[in-house]
Amino acid sequence: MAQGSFELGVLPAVNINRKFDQGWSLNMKVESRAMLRQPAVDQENIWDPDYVLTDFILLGSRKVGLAHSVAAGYVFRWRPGDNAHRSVQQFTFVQPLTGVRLAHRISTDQTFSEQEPPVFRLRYRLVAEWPLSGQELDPREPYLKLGNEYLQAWQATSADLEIRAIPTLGYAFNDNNKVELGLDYRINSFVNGATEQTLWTAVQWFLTW
Amino acid sequence: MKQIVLYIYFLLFLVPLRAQVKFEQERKIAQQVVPDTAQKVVNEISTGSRIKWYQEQRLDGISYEAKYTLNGRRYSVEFNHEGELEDVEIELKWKEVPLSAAKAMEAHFDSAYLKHRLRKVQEQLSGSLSAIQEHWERRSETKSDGADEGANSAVRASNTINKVLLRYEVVVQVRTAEGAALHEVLFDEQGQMLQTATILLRNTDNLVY
Repeated sequence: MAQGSFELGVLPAVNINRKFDQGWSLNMKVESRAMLRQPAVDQENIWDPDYVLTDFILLGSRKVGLAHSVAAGYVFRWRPGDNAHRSVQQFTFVQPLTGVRLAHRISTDQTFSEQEPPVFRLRYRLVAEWPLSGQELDPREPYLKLGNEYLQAWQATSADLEIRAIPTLGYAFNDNNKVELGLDYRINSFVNGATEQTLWTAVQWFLTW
Repeated sequence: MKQIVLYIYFLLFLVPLRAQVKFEQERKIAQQVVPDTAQKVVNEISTGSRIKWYQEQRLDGISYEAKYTLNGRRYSVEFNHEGELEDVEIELKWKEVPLSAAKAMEAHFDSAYLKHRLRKVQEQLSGSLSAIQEHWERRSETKSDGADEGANSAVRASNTINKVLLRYEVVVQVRTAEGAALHEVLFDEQGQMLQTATILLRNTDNLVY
């Protein structure tokens, strides 16, 4: 039986959104990855802080209903020695229920780089957000967010399923300025091959104007 | 001076969230800080339900609100800062709304909007606690059927005698020439529109990106 791996890292991100007329908006996100604990050759996992990559994301979005949006865009992945280019398409809708908001996201993306065959992915993510002091999220209020995402990836002749669990604590300075601190647990290759698990500590700042 | 500070506060933080109607921000609070008179009323009518207390900051001062669910129905009881009962809101199913009022409301929606979908309807009752309780007992006798015009007439007559002011608060998803929107519409007992306000949806960027 193949031996699995467990990695630990940090995932800081800045997420800036600009709203325009007619329901158009622009999402600009910069997200970096740094690994803290990772497998070493012929060794147990070791603590070895290491910069991994930075994603520069630009998505154009348009509302197509009260809480429905479609978006498409481009991701430039800056990775030492092997940059990648990704196109993204997504459909989202948000259900504001009593005391909780549910957000569904269905997306596809295609990743191209010089050193690897193209990767095609189909993703579904469900996020629930609960204000921690009241039934609607008000300024200067903390909130809890739980996310669960399923990603099916195809690359050359192989396919893999990744599952993510994302518990997050957030704080809304106001409706357009929020910070979040949470975990992003990812597991893949558990159907065939050695299971890979990664636990990221995610810090994200959302700013909208 | 306090009023001026409050006004600036609402202008900065709350107006962008829910324009035109509700200048309020709610915070969950412990029961101990609620005036005794309000606690006594809610403990009496909630018959053992789990009660959540909120303090609302409004332009005209502080109010207290108790929310609970009883027999699958959501109740909201609001008090002023001295603990005096202001109103009771009870969530209804659309078929429970008296037929004549429901028809008048539907006629309003049909004339005001290209399309509409009902999201929530509540009875809003003002008056003495005993009169509100009597109203609700009489309403319960209609066996959840708004089509029973005889029973509806009896309820209306009783409300007039007992000085119960009944209004319907309806949240409706609409489509107008300008696009999709969420409206909160207040109707009187006969289903005549009193006030319409647009509910500005809260920012969803941290849910979809």
